[in-house]
Amino acid sequence: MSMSVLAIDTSGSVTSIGTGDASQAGVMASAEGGRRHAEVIDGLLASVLEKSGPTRFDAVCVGVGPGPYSGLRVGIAFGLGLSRAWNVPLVGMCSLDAIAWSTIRHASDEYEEGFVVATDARRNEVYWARYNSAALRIDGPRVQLKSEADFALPVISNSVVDPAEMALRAAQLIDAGAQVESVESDWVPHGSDGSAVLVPVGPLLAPRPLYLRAPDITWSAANSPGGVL
Amino acid sequence: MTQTGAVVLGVETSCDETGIGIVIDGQLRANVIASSIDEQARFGGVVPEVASRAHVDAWGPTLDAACEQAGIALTDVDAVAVTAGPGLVGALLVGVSAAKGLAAGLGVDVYGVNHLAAHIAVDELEHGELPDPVIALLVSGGHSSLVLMTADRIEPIGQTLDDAAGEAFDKVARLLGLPFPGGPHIDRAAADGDHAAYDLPRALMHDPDHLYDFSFSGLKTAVSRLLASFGEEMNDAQVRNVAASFQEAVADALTRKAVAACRDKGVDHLVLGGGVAANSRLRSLMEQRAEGASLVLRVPRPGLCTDNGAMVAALGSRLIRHGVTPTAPGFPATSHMPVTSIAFS
Ligand SMILES: [Zn+2]
Repeated sequence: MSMSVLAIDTSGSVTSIGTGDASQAGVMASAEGGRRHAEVIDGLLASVLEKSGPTRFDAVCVGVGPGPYSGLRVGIAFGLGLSRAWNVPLVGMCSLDAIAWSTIRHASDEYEEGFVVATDARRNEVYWARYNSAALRIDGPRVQLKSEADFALPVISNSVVDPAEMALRAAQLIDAGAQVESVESDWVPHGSDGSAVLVPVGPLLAPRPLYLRAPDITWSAANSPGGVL
Repeated sequence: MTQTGAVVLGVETSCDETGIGIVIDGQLRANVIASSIDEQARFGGVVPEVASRAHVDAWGPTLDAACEQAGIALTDVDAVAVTAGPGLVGALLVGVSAAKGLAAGLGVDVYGVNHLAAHIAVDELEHGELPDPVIALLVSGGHSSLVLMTADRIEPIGQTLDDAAGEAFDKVARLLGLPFPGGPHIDRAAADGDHAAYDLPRALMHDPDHLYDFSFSGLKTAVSRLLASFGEEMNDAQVRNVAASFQEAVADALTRKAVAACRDKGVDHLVLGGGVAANSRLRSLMEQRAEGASLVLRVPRPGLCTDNGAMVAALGSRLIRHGVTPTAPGFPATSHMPVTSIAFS
């Protein structure tokens, strides 16, 4: 019996939820919403469950980015709540891996030399990871200035995660016995100075955003939650 | 869900504490808090991104510990209440999202509630049902507010125009060379000090436009000037006396305005809440002045005054008791909860 997985991704401005098992991608729903992930996510779950009919899920998979942290945390926290309620495992997946995976699934012949998946990291930077022709990640994820990024490989950009394909991929990995790789809490950013880096190599990660940048310490808002009221 | 016996799980992540509380039939059954305060101390204040990161990591273990403490399984939960605001938006988003997921997975109602109302409702766990209306003075590192709460709305009466009371404690502690968070350290230093040693300013005491508002930035500046006048070295006695005089000025302003608000609005029950409610001088002066004004003063024990999940569960429980409709899907986490809402509808 194959695992049935519910997958959630909030690594970009789109919030998406989908289902799948090891043999096929199931249903999905998504909403474009800028920073409104937390507002749309409960409605999206309801519509996915309506489409999928009464299903018992065996695991929840959340996209852990890279991407804007607040949005990522919405999907991860929502998955955390769901997985506790259902009493099933929660696993994380690099969102770029999900894009790479569905790219290869639909165009396997075009990337014999491998390819790069890149997404906008703002501040004139890109998040990217390099894959081989089987969509296995061989470098990254990293964050780098756009002007310095030169891959000499086909680049998949402007692509968004298909959550049903993410669910399918997660189900296959879980069925194959993949272990969840923990990511240290003191994530070492991939600094441009070439300092020590910590790269998640495994396909299943701890349900925690890929913090490729250290926290900004901004004093203006530091002590004033909610301002005056 | 029946009105009695409801198992309400409360989630609080508005600042740096990850709190989960469980209230069953109006009784407190679990209150578990994980705090990133040690991590924050390195920065001398709460850094929003650090708090948000900590919430994600702490949420699951905190939930498990709360269920164990209450002796329940998650499937026993009848409703989930969560702080939707006010607070740090990135931190609120973690709790709101996790609570939505939990409630959706369990198939139970969810209430997105007002953090300030939760600070008030928590007292019902200790001292029984609150009268309607009640006035509350809520003081912490994040808020300094006087609010009037009825069964279905919360009305701001006064607030700080600059620093929150707890923030003033932190800043003055830093000036005095005391550690973060400043509140407990100033309280301790002040215990052996003379609170009349220095005459520090109380702001807005006679301003008709700000009868119930507070301001602490001038007080902080006055302390800073006073310390400068000491010259190079500050001796221990000076530290103790400044701490006591500063604490007296804060407690004096807060208590005077709280009592005046009750008198002017004709309300005879006053709740004191928030982390700064643990301050010994604020408590004793509040008791003294409430008694002088024939007010019933209600102060939850210190563990329930600081941000926690039990207060959110207590408010959820109260909303269910009052027959309030659960919050519809799609509610946001917002740094500024609509000021008159106890819960999103
Ligand atoms: Zn608070």
